[in-house]
Amino acid sequence: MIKSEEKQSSKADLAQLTAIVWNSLLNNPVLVMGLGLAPVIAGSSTLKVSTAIAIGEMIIVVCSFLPTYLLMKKIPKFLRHAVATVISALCFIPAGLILQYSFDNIFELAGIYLPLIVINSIVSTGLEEAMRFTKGYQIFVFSFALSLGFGLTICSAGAIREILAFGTIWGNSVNMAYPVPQLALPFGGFLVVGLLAAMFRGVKNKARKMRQPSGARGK
Amino acid sequence: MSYLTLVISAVFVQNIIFTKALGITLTVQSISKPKQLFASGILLTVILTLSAMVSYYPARLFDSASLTLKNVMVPFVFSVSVAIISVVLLFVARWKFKKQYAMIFRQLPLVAFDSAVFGILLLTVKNVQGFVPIILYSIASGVGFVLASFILSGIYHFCNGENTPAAFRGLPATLIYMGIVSMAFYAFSAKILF
Repeated sequence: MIKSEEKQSSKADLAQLTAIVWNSLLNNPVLVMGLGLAPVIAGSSTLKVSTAIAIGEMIIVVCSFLPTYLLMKKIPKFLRHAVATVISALCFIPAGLILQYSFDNIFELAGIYLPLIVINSIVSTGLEEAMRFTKGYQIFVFSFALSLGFGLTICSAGAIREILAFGTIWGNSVNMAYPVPQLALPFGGFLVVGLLAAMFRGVKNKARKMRQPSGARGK
Repeated sequence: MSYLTLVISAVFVQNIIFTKALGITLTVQSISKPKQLFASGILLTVILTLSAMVSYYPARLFDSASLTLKNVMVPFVFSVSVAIISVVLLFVARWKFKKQYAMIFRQLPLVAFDSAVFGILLLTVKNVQGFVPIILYSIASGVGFVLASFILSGIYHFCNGENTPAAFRGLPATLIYMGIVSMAFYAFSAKILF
């Protein structure tokens, strides 16, 4: 009897975690919610830089959300964002060192957009969203899914811009006939991310319509 | 660089929204409310200027440190400065601006912990030298933010109108419009793009 109850509760937990992951991916933080746009638009000039930013953001979000959540219960509301910022800045010190040794000259290539992962709307708004969960592992899964959504978007934007701007992918030539180097500038990022957001929404709307029963579609 | 050149550069040539893509989330979230956008712009300028003042000397401590240490420690110094200034401003607002406190309490974290403040502080390390130029650059960048966000608030209705295809309505159309205006802003830097 107890075993079957345990099984049911673990099934419910698993279903809840799957829902958290799907919600975070379908409501993409960048393309749907418009969070963390600065690093995605201006920092994603190549796939290498985008990958470094995505890894850094994942380390910061995953490592800072849980300790911040545990502290949140003990500190007054007006101090919450300040404390969360200091914790994510502390997480950036090891994250920055890891990235420095994993990618050559990454701080020079990414400019201000790599340190920018410390303070941006993904961390501040994502943290407010995370506060509605009650268990530690839910926050861990949510923070992972949130940073995964961000990472997939910035890497897609980086790959597209690198191919169009330089005719390469991760530095390897793809025989692009007419590269447009200007697309590596921030305005190229605005256009590519704008088109990606439209595509994401278009596909999402189409999928929603297809899931509706045929009778309801005409209404 | 003269102070006038610095100010013109921060407002137009290196406008934080159109040439650096900073503060876009804040703009996109408040684009439908011009009054709120203006209040955010003023709040941003105040937070930025005070944070630049507070962090100026601590950030210079790492000037002689190795590049690796500087790359990871300067962001930490800026983050702590922004955090301290945001808390102090909340106290001041509670004490001096009791009527506006609820609005400031709601708006301040959105502004202070957006990419705009932190991004400009990071830019000052590379682009500006000296205490007074940094303060001027911070104020001018705030003015540039207000100017750019007003340009964008004018097109809000077009980007959300019935004539805009459903998939492009809202954020995608706004970003594409920003991209076109951003291209125009490159004319200020006298760069030949194509």
